[in-house]
Amino acid sequence: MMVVRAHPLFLLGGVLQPSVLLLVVFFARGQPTGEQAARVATAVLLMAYWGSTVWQGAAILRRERLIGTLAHFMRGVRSPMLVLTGKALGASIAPALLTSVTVAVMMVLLRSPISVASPGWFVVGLVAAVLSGTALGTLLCSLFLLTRFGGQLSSALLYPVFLLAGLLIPVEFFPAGIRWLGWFVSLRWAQQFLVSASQGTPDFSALALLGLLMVVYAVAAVTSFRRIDHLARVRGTLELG
Amino acid sequence: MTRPAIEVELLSRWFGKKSKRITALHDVSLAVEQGTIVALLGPNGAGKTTLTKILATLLYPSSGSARLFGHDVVREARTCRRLASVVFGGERGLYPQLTGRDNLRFFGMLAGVKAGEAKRLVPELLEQVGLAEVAGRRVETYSKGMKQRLHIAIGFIPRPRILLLDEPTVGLDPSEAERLRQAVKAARDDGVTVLLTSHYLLDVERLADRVLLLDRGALIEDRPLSDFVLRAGYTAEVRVRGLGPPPLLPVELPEGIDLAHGPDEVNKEWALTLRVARWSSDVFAHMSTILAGAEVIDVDVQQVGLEHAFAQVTRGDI
Repeated sequence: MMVVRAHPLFLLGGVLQPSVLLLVVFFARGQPTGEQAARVATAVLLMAYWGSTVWQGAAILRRERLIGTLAHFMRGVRSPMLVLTGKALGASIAPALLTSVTVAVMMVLLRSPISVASPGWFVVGLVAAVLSGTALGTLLCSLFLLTRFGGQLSSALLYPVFLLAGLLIPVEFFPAGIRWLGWFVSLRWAQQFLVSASQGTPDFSALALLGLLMVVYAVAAVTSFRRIDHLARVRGTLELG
Repeated sequence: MTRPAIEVELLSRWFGKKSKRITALHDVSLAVEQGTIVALLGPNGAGKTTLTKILATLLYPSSGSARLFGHDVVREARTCRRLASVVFGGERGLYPQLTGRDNLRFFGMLAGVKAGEAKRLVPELLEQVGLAEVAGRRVETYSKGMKQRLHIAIGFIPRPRILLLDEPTVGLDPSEAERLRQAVKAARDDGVTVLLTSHYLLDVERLADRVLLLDRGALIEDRPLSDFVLRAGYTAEVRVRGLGPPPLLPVELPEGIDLAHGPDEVNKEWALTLRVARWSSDVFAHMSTILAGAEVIDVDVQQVGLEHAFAQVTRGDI
């Protein structure tokens, strides 16, 4: 069927970005060990994955509109929501695998291989992170279709999301007044669970929150997509070829 | 009695808020029988594309209703999408980085074609539209005509019972355009109903059984093609050129002959155009009388066509 092509941006997000981020951390902080190494590796993994998949997923409908395939998409016999989810999942899985391999190889090359004490739960965490990314990508792509500034908004939101999730700076460093915002970013719980699973003490409350947020994103995505579909047919804004 | 393939009742569609409302369709009613090709004509902005979009379930009507084989395009949109395929054509609407084959497969999947069926249909359709040899090439390398042919294959892949075609021969060379017309005729012979929107009146003349004419959102003509051509009000145009002084035309021309243009004089040449209501031996005698004494160098007879009828009905507003 469809061939995943080695697009330069795909390689940039899946290979170059995580490698550079790891090198920066290692040169700045020295050799991390144990939990620290797991924290660094998962943070880099999630940042690179989020950067290349969630934001790619968020651009799906805008791309469809740009190339004039949106009308086909919206009048298909197959549920457009299902097709959109499939596309968002496709945009997630390939970069997730590539990023995981890059991080694992880089950690070995940097002489800090991560030992995962609960590999089964670690994989569950990764799968949950991918599904959560897919749901958020689908939600954002519906919301961004409503505005001409979708591209700018996705760039503007990228780093605040990383910050709120505590991937760049621990959330404890933020003022208490905005710390609560991090609760709504599934990345935070994904990292918490992955680190705990690597240490052999899976944090199931983090996994539950990750799952809950994924459901919330998915419900919001379906609702907003239906709304957009309805509005487009009422206002006549489904662009044709 | 079987239901019409397309039924439209008092359909209206407007855009914008009340103070700046633009009416695209106003109380349009029509019915199209199964297995016919109906041409939808009209000047730009007449409402043709709006009507096509409503039938394609891409737009909601503001009032009135539209049904495909009895299924409402709003309430039973999914069923209508199974029944009708739409071809908008143009250079967009395809995935440029995918091959022609993958585009056809993907859009077939969207249209509900099962994988096994697609495996059989995709090569068959690519062959039919003459893209078999380039099916493995990325669409971004295709010419305008090749993209148009791919659009047509995409329209045919779900084996629709209704085909909505918007400017299907744009970008096609004459032989490709003729091949497409044959494919559309073959579909009609298989019972497919075709609603054809085209500015190429040749497509309409070659294909249509019936003509619908929209003007400023209202349906102003709905008749068989042969009747529509008669709306021109004459059978032929006779263009006469000559040298020297032009003929002196009588104040009242004989019955059945009208003066369309002229006589115009340029560089010692003159030209005039007469319209003949119906051919008879008297027409030649009358013409001889009209042109008596003038030096005629050329006579060109043009049989009336759809173009003349269209110009007459829309008062040249095309």
